[in-house]
Amino acid sequence: MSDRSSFFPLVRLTCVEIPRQPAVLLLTTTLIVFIGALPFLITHNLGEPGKLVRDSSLAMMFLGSLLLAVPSACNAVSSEIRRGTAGAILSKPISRMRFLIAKYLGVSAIMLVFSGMATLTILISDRAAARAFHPGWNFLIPLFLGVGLSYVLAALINFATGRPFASTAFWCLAAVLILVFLWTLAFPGGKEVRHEQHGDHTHEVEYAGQVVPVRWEIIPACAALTCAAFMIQALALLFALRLGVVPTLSACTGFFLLGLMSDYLLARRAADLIWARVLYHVMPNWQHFWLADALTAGGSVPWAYVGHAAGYALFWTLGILLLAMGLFDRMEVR
Amino acid sequence: MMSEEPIVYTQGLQKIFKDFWRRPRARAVDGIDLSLKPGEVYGLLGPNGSGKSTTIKVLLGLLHPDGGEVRVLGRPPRDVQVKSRVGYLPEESYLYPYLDARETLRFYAALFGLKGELREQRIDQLLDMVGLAHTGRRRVGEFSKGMARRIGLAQALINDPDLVILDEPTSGLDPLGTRQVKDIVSALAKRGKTILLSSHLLADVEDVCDRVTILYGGKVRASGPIRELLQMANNLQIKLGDLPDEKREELLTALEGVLGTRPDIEPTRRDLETLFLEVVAQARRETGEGSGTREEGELAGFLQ
Ligand SMILES: Nc1ncnc2c1ncn2[C@@H]1O[C@H](COP(=O)(O)OP(=O)(O)O)[C@@H](O)[C@H]1O
Ligand SMILES: [Mg+2]
Repeated sequence: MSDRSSFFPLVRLTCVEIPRQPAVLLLTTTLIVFIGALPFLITHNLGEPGKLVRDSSLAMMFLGSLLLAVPSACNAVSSEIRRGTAGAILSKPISRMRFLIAKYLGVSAIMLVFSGMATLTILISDRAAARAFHPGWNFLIPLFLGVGLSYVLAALINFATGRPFASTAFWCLAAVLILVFLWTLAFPGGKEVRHEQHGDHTHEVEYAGQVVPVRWEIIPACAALTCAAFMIQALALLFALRLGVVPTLSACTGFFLLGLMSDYLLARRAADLIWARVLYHVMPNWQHFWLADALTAGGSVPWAYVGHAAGYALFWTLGILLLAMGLFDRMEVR
Repeated sequence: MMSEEPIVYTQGLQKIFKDFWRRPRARAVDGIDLSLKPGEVYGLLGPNGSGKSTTIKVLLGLLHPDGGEVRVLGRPPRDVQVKSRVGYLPEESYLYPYLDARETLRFYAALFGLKGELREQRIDQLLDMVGLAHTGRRRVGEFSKGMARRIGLAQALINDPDLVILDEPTSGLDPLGTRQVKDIVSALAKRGKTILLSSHLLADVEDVCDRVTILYGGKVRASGPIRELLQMANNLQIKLGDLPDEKREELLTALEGVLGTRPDIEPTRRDLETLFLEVVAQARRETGEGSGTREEGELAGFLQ
């Protein structure tokens, strides 16, 4: 019996099923619209143009991954168990370990698509925020039009072929975002406005054809956050084995907050308290994945650092998945 | 095939359901012994909540027994190798609502590592067999209960299993569908496959099962070959064909002479199922072919 051929259909079905939940589409759309709206919501600069927009949008992406991880993990595991489809699958020659890993990979693939969409949006929105008080409409209009377009497209496809709206819109959104990004690369035009000092007054002077560069260093920063998202994903999967959506969300949020405050709460005590030291090393520490500060002041994020963070994430994720497997192996599937 | 070893064997099987905190809640199965011989149709009968589904889920390794011994095809039920030789129709057809019939079967076939030409061939034959070949791109989420049962049955047979476990295979089916399922079950048994089916509709399974076990409250209340269970030792029936009135009178007088009392006599009634099937067959002939599902009942080619 070929092992691989029975594995990928499970991964694929998981990928197909998760975006069928309207919550996933809603979350993704909200995230994109919010990140796109930041350049004209935040109109002051602290030190450096775009810093606040960039920091906020990275934070939103991080929070978004937490909020996405929970319903996808629950869809992949707890609702499959509740619906009975898990039982139907496990009555076939699929070991429980294989089932769980396939689920994790499926869920991670969706997380990857989600992170990709967020990254593209952040790249666009960062360019639009390059100048204070002047959101770059030439970047934002294609973005918002793209979001609208993918909904219209999904509705048309649903009308013509009967494909479920939510997942179609999700995939359309992903495709359209790539196109929008390419569009903003190809037509970066618009007018650049500069503030020039003339004696006591500042004048706005328009220069045609000046291009705001893409800040490519955002990509490694987003990649690091995606690694953290994979960790949260594993955690959500572990909790979703025994718990429903709301308890899973609460547990993951708890871990999320603890991980954010790990340095503050635990690092100081780690020196003399054993439990604090153990906890400090066991708890996920999101500081390792937060590279927004490195982007400030024109700094760059070395990919080698991202590689380190990815190694840490992989190690931790494997640990959590082993725990999940131990739990699932003894679990009853009704 | 090893004819000595039972296909399914349980001894003192026990299952106690526990709540989230692992406190015992319900004693669903309480000391059930089963032993299925190769090629027989075995009925697990009992009212709702008597432990039929629980027993079946233990046999599939989905639930863990709390006591007793379980062997399926000579191995522990959680063995992955065992499962490649077992087909299972769950009590409710658990399907992914957005897939159509063919995609559903493709998915399950893929779980057995089936692919390519062989897979498509089997799917064609199975869809034909259960009468769903014409549903096209309709999603299974829109199927009626009976259609969902049919796709569930097709799914259970995709791997050409040696042991077929059917949990309430006839629930939700019309008499026609019930008859078809029974025909398929009999045909499978003739091909040497072993079938374990559960039902609370006793009449539905009476004429296919070789042996039955009747459960109540998780315990075996009666068990044995169905003929022996239904036979009433001191009560005989004489069946006669068409008799003219004077012959009948003659016979009754003769019998009265032997027995001392005059026996009861009444015309044989056909059962409702036969009548129903005849009426529907008649209607189909008049309207020219059927609607919805077809009634084949012929076993899929690869199962023969
Ligand atoms: N998941 C469960 N949790 C707790 N009790 C259960 C569960 N499933 C079944 N039971 C109990 O076990 C008993 C047997 O159920 P079941 O095997 O489904 O009966 P049947 O299939 O014969 O109708 C019932 O009393 C039922 O309430
Ligand atoms: Mg049942």
